[in-house]
Amino acid sequence: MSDPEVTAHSESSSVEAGVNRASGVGELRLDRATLEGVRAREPAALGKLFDAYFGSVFALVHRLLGDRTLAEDATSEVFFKVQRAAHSIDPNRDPAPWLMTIATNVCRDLWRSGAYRMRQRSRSVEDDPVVANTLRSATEEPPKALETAERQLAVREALLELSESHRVAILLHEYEGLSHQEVAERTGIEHAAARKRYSRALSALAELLKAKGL
Amino acid sequence: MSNAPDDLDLSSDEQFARAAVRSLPRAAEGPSAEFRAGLRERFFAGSIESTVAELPEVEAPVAGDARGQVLAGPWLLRPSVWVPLAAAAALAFALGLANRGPAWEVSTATGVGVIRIDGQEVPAQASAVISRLVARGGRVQLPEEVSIDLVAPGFMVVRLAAGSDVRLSGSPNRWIARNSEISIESGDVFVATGREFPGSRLVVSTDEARVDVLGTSFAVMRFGHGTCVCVMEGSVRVGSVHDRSSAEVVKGQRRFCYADQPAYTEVILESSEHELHQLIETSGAKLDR
Repeated sequence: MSDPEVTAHSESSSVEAGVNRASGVGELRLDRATLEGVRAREPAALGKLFDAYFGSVFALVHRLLGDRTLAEDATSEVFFKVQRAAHSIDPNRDPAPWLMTIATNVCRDLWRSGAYRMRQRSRSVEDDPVVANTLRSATEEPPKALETAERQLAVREALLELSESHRVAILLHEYEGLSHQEVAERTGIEHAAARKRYSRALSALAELLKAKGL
Repeated sequence: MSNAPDDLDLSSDEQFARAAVRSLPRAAEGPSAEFRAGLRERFFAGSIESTVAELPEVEAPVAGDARGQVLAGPWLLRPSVWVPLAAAAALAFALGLANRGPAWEVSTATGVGVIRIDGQEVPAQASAVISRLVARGGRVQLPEEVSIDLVAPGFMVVRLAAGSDVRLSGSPNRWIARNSEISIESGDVFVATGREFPGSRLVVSTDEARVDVLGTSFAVMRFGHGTCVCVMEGSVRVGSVHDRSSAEVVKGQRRFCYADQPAYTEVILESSEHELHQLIETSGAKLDR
């Protein structure tokens, strides 16, 4: 998963592609000894795990939730679960897909919870400067910004409705900037299978998006 | 990744989905350093507390996919334990979903202005957004220029007159706990029930009156320190908070309840009847009448 600070500072080079190739994700892989340390809950190893993945967990959940406060809650929840399950981590495998699964599950559960709905309801349009400006300047037709917000909501819903393997395939490739070869290595499947899974995942997503009227 | 050579053979559908995924914006700014430092410290100390009480605590491993890297752990992770539990939970969840009544949706919105729904401001023209926010109920505050009709298809249609301030619950469930409630802070509310409504219960309340509905069309109007209940079809039972009286109000009648004087019944006004007729004409098709 990509480094948060690098993500924040590499926007201009990666916005068009929607990925963060500059993050050097490959370098973030923790070695076996560190992961053994995580299993044993050694502070130094836990620190490395946290530093390596905190930012990308936050970036992912923020993208899926679209709200900074909720993203902080979700990030906290992810590391709560990581802490609880640290003893069961497999030191032979990259923990990134596992963390991503936990993060998306947390987001999905948040979506289903009353908390998310209440947060969405209690948000003022002033929280979103784009929507607020549009409302102030245009009163004759439904604001474009609201349509964009609705569309993003539908995309987030669709992503969270995907099967886990499909969702991970898309998120690793699109948001973490991994090549299909890297995705294959991290999820323990062949390169061709990773490519095929990504393609099927996009098809499934397209179906979901169309069903939502996009 | 548009730059990767092996993405070039994507179908149009796949390209459409990929563009949608990439359309989700990145965080404009990262988490605060304070949040990060605090969470890191609690992560070390093993003192992070769940922020979302209802979330499951463990991730079930599934061989061959991303979760498969978690080794066998506590007994709860054994398939023989969690599969039946998950199936039972899924069944209960599905039954709960199936029991839920239809979501409220905007049938008609008249006028230009900004509606407040649970404190969130939405332009009256944004029907889809209003429908989403009010789907399972909430507080709806209308400006003087806007009125809206909310319909729970098959069950009922509710017209919130311009300037109303109303709290409404979700529509009645289909089989169990078929209760619904509308509480009027101010303004007028017109209600017509549909074919699916019988067997449900709707209570419309104000500070002065409580209206129990079993299937009818009627209006509840709040003015000053009083409430008027007008019945166009069927009947309702109206309780007065002040004198604790309870009276059946039938088709063609209206009953006044006040904060400081006894309730009484008289003939319905033509204007109220006209408004209810218009409501049924406008939204009757969605009530399957």
